Amino acid sequence: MSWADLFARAGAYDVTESEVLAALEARRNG
Amino acid sequence: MGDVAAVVADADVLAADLLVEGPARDALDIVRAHSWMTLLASELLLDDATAVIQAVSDAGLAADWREKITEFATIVDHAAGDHPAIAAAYHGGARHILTFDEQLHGAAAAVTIRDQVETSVKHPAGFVRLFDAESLYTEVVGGDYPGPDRDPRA
Repeated sequence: MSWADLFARAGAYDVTESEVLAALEARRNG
Repeated sequence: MGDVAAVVADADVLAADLLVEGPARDALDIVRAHSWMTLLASELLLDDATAVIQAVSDAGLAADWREKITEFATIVDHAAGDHPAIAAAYHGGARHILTFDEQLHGAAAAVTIRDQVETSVKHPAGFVRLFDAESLYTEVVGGDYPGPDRDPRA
């Protein structure tokens, strides 16, 4: 699978940087 | 010491590259576009990124991303309990850690990291701003920089 394919699929989600940071914070510091 | 062309992206930057675009995508596009650059990671670091991707999108996308990034990155081992990005940089000799984590950007953290690893912690936007392909190519490969040599979307 190419990066282009992955990015196209990911584009269906409207994810913000804040959501990514919150998810990582939750995983690492629970 | 250290590999000037080796980069560790923390799990936040890896997930943002896939799902948010912006500076994370710009920074990792630099690595993807140059065959003489290396993305370093560890299985523990990729575990974190995969979990984040699954949490904000879906398991199928997370699994397919994991397969792709495992193929693309150079994987190093480190002990569980270490900060995955710092430990991967230490064990792989990376000069750059890309993260949005302001704690890693903090002065005290930077000093500690430099004591252990000759590396710098950068926001992805800072890495993109400071990246000098011509001088890095001359140092790593030698000769005149021919431009990007890899399709960053392949």
